[in-house]
Amino acid sequence: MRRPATIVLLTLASGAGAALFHVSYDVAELDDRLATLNRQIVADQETVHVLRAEWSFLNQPARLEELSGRYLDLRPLNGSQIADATALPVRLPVPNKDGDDADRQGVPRTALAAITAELAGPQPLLKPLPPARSPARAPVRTTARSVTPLLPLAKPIPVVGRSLDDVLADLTHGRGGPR
Amino acid sequence: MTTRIRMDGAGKTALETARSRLLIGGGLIAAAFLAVGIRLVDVSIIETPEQTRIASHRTVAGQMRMARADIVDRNGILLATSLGTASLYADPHKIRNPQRAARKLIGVLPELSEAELVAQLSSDRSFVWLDRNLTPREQYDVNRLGVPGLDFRYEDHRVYPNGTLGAHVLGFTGVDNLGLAGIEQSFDENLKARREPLPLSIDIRVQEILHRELAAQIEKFSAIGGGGIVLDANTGEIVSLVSLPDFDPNDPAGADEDARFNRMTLGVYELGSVFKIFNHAIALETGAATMSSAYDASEPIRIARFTINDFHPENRWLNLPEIFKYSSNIGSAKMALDIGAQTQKKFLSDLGMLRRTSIELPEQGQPMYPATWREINTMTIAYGHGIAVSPLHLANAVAAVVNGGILHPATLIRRARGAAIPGTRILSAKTSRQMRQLLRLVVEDGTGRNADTPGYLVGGKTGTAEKQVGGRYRRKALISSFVAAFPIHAPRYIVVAMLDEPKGIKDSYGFATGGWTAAPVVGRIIARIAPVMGIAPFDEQAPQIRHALAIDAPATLEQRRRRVASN
Repeated sequence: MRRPATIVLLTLASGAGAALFHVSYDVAELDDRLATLNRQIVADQETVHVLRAEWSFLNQPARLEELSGRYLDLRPLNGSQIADATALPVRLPVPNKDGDDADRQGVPRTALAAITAELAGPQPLLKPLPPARSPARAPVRTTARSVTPLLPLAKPIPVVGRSLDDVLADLTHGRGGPR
Repeated sequence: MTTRIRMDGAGKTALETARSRLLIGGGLIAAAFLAVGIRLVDVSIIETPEQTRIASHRTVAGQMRMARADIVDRNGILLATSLGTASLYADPHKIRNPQRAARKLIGVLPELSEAELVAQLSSDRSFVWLDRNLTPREQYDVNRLGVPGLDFRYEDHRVYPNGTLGAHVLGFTGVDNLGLAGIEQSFDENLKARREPLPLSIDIRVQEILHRELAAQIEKFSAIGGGGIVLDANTGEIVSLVSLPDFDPNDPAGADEDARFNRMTLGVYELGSVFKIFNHAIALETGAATMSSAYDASEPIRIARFTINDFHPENRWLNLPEIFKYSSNIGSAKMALDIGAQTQKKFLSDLGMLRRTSIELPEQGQPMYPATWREINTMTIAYGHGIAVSPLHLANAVAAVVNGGILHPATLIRRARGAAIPGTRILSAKTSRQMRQLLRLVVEDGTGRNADTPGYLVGGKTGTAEKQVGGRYRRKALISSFVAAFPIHAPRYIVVAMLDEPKGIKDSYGFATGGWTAAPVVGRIIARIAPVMGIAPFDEQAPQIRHALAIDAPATLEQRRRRVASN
């Protein structure tokens, strides 16, 4: 009667011992891993920290202004370059080739048609920008002088190489203009 | 007891006793285990909130050690940070061939002297410093040499990536990481304790524009110094503060006394006619004068041993807008007499002109004003003489005059979005509106025309004062200033520019006054910072703007009659 109990107890005890042993090794290993990870995290944080300092150093406004003056065709933003959408003239539709613009009352109707066509048309959200300019190449066509300021605005407005027509097309879609 | 068992000899009794003792012992042990079990359940299952808090406080993730928190500008751009830099030392005992080691080191650290290195490396000590504060690149190169006996020590080094920009605001620290000036000093404890970066109200972009424009103007007029402030009129946040000449906080020891001196907060100056802003505001607020009141400015005032003259003499009766427009000292002095010394002192005190400002810098000047406020003092203070305040005092008080009449204490720390902004009402909204009209008049058609910037509706006032040296005014040493608010119909920012001892040049027809030196630079600053701050230009001819800025009171009949009589 006593034998089986002893055997069971011994098995349980050795089982518990083995499990404990295993768990404690696991914990030690995990601890090791945690320490390694922590060292790595700290090292990464330090690297990020140094890079942040370097980023700030390289982005000194005076340095950017100098570099921009040397490599880019940009000037500080002037107040006269900012306009309100309401200040733009109303865009009239292009008259029909057949000369079907005799109907004077029809102007609003054609305008509406033009706008609806534009709204429905599968226009890309942003026109692809002209390819980046290499220093050796001749300047590309620039209709509007770039208004991207030297110091970063909240939202830079891409206007390089866009005609007034493109701007107007954007406006009819509720995009562009001062925000 | 055992003796008793032996004496009894009865087996049964002994068994009984043993049994009951075992029971007692077992019971005690069981009770102890139960207690442990209950406690275990209590700790692990029935947790009190306090214990949970302690448990969760144990941070598992590694955290970088930081001697001082970073300082950032209002957009989060790094202004000051602490970097661990490596310093190279050697243990000469472990160096086998000093000549070769020295030659190798010169290869990566060319600024060291080879002869000196050889001497150091062959010395009989066990520790010599070779070079301090290596860049990560240099450290890597030295490591790659693989010379045994070389090693590094890591020290924290305060770095200001933007150099001189914001030097007077940030201040600097000493070698042992102790803040010795500016924000570094006033927030010394805070910076050592906090982990998050400290956000200032400064905008580095505006700071750069102000710095550049002022430096150019100082050079143009051969001034000995100068400075400028951009202040948010509705929150009291200082967006930019520049004092020139300035210094590099990375190398504070290389700066002289004058460069470290903060002219905008520590320097107090008699600022001259810009004080007419307050004189007019007090007169309008108290009812001592109205927009249509007029004063006889046809003759200089002689009082005691002083003579009060006009710089732009009109020699006739002037109404309030005219006194402001032509910056008439005579008219202002007479107005001040109508206001009275007590009222003048009370209002200037309310505007913060008689005490230190509220900003978070240790460098703050105490205003100077007469101990006994006599009639002559009242008259001179009306046009900004006999009282000396810092340019920051001026900016802060002008903000209160134009923003609707509420004085917000100036601060260098960014105000949290949506946080309540402390403020005290000093003037009525009506007085504030009238003052905005007067300030616009000066730029449209008065002494401040050079500050006009199309689209941004600048309003402002010029100031020119002779510097006092040894109790006497020096005619040629001027403090020329201009204070502006824009857009004046609903002011967003106050801009102050000051030049210390500008000299007249051909372009300015020999003048070195505020209208010729400080006003143009304020105009240029506004033209450049307004787009950066996201302010769209205004149509100056728009009816609502014209209406807001039209002077209320045209000359009255009575005034015209008097003017005719005086001619």
